[in-house]
Amino acid sequence: MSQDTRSTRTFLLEIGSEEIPARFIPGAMADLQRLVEEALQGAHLGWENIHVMATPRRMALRVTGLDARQPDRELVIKGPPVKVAFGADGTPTPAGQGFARKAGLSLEECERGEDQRGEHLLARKIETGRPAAEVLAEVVPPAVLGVPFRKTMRWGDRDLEYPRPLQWILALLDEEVVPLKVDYLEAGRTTRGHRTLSMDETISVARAQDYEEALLKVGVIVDQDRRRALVVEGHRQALADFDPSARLVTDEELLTEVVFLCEHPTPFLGAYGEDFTALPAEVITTALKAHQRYFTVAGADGHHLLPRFAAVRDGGTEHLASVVAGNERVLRARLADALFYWNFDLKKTPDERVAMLDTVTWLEGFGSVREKTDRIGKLTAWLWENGLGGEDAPPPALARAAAICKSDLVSEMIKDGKEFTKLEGFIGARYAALAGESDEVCAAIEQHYLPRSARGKLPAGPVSATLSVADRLDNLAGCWLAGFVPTGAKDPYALRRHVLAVIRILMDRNCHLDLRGALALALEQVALFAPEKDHGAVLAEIEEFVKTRLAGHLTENLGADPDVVRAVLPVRWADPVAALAWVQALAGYRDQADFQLLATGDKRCKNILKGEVLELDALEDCLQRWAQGGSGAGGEDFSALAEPAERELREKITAQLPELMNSEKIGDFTSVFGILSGLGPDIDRYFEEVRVNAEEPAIRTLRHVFLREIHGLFSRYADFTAVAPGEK
Amino acid sequence: MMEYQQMIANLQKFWSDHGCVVVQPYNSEVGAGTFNPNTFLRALGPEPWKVAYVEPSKRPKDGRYLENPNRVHQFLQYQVILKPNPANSQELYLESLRSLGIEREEHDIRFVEDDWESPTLGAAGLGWEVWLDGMEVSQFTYFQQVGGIRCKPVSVELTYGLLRLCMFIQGVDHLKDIVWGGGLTWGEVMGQFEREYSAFNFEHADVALYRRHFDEKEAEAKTLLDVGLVHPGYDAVIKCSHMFNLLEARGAISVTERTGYIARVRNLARQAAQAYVQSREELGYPLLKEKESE
Repeated sequence: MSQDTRSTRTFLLEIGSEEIPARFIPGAMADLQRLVEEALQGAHLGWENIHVMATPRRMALRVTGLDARQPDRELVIKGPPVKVAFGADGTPTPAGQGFARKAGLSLEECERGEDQRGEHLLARKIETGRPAAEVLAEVVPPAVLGVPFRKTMRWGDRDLEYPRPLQWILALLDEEVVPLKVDYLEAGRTTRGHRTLSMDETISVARAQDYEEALLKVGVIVDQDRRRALVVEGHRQALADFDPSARLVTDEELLTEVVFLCEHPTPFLGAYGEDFTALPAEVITTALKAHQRYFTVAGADGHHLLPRFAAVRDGGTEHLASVVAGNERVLRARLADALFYWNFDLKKTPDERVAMLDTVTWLEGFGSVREKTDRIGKLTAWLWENGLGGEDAPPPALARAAAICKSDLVSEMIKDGKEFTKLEGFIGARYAALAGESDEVCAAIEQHYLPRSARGKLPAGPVSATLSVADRLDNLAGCWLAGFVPTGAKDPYALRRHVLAVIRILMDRNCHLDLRGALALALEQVALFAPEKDHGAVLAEIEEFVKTRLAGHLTENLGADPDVVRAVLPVRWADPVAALAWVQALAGYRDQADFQLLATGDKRCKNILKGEVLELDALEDCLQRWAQGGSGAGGEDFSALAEPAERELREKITAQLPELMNSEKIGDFTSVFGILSGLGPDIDRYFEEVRVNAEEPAIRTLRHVFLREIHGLFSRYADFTAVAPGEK
Repeated sequence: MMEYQQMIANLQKFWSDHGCVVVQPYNSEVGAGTFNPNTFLRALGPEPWKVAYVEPSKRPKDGRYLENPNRVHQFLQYQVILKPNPANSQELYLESLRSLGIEREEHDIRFVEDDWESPTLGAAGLGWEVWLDGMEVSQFTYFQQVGGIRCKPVSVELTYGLLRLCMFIQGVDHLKDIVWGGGLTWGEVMGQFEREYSAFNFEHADVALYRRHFDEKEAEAKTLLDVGLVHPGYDAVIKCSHMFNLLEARGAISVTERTGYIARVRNLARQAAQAYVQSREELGYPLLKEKESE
């Protein structure tokens, strides 16, 4: 199709519904755009721009510069083989005639084509492109219903599922209605106005291009960016009028929610009494946000809260004063609740609350939270002495923080899953501070829940970090033993997150901890709750889980090569900090020629040994044997192996060994792999010149033992077979 | 100023005018209007059902000896079930607010995501809490499952928090100051009742007695439901649920025990739901036939 005859259209789709949860909308907009783009591409319809807009009651998609019709396309249809289409005498068979008829051609018009199975008929025809409306009617409904949502429902007698009932579909191609049908809903040109500003008036839209303007007249600002700008600017203005030094405490997550909770925002500033300023800013902020979706307002320093809140009315400025007054009354009741909890809690000390933890079940059948804090205490001491704490003995603050870190769980503010529950730790720290605990203890109570997410802030300081690791290892061991093993999407106790947190904390603190020992202690402490289980097997499962999470962190978050990670982790996982250094060192060798000879040689050893290799826990002994000049695990003497290539390989290893061991000792892992790579050509030569499966049984057996020792030595550093050439 | 009893009368008239059968509160203690068989059982099966009623909802744990301005152990809910949910259920709800003198154009009304789940009833639904100038005044739920059984058709449940709405309408800050009617306030009508029941729920309820009642009613429910006496059996389930609420308020149920009690009530609720569905099928779905013959 030549450029000048090409004309374009504007397509407007609006999915009208009852109020969709705000948290679903941004994701759904992106998904709808993607699905429509894919559908248009698949249908060979070009476009210039796609813009998606949404409010709680509608999701709208506008395509501009849309091709008026599909381009004509040449289709080539493959037919039967020529020898089937024609008889031996050259007369057409029914198969040949049938193919031509189906293709709408005469048999003479069919062409011939060749492929590996010989000559066959071809029908070449031009498929006329269809008009856009027809194509849209076909491809848009599956895109609309293909948008994935985390939670959907049914309504009325229907089986259709969507987050809330669908109400109408508007679909216009310029001025024409696109005859599409989303399940039982036929598209039209009508839409509905704002619930209160227009009293939900039904209006008709003349052209796709008029859509936004038409809705604006009935009180709906469809474009979320315009609503967002109105909220931001409205709050800025209201604050400037109130007190030029006051600042809005920005919260992007809340702003997005607020924008998707309204169709016509009218921002306003409200007030609450000074009598609530005894409450910590975090409690006030949570009360404002969690229940009411209000923003907090701070003084010039950005922290000290002013008794004001910034909110939005969905509607206009009519009767705004009474709307503001209503919101202020509600907020006063909410804050009064919080102040009641606060004052009630202050009547008890942290130790009194710890005693109450006796009655709080941690995990069903796994004792009380009080018992858990005792276990955490023991774990923290071990962790501190085994790497997390450095040289000094565990400070008193560590034991104290461990003892009272869960005491806020029984406070009025936190218990029963109220809106303030997410302030656990923070509330405990405030109550501890008011009870006269040290800053260090309070900080550890507050921070032992850090990090709260995969990229969240980490605990600062060794006491907080140790407490955080201890709590999570106890969770891991207990939940695993109780059967809450993560599978697929199910991880009810967020064990994946806990393990990642432990790894991140250890790396952040550059701490060489023996995780194997820590996990064993954590499991030992909860073992009594499930005496019937095979604890050795459970520990092995947990170790495997930790190893997998570490591999994930190294590859996904730190960008390591998955093969290199697979090579290093079997030997190094228990010390994540070292594992990372080993991974980085090995990555530099992967493409070097000598290293590849080494890896290939190691792989050949492994293949020849057919699984009869040394176990991971026997590798240290293997290294020691090499340090003594090399021998088999059963004391076999290698001096009978007299071929030059095998003798020289052995001598070279023995000669390099002191430097190899020293390099590891001083943490120079690059040199470790450098020395091992230096053995690459020797191994290669070995396999060129030495016949491992020698005629004489004694020599053959000895050569196998020799290769087992070589493979054992390499495995002591990494599983090089995972990075051997051809393994990628 | 609109009195409390006037509000109720207006809602009764509104929903009566919109085709609901208006029934009276249930004669047993329920934690919410949802427990009333006019909701719990009628939401099941294919038969249409439109009902409206006031329900005194009794939640022993929420009592505050009348000291908290917003919280009492027994309060009235206004409950509407529309089955199947009409396409304009939100519109109807907003219109009903007008009957209470709440003109929507003067306010900020939002439907904010709030899904509902009752572990004891084996029931779940999706919907909203309705905000009126920032105050949650109603719950709006599309039942998806009741008593462990998938709802088809889907019912919508509208629950009006009458005290909240009334405090809003009358502009009072303590519920005891609500003007009820007949020259009396809420506090004058219910105050002594509320204080005494707070004391009963938290301090005097006989734990051993109510544990025994729970066990007995549980056994009775099973026996009755097994012989297909759906309503007497379900009444015993309601009693169990109330005993559990009472024991919990009394602090007699540990965290571990709690899960067990909830599971016991849920199992009974499922059994009642199944028995009801079966009984209606055996009766040939009378309400379905009636409607078709119209």
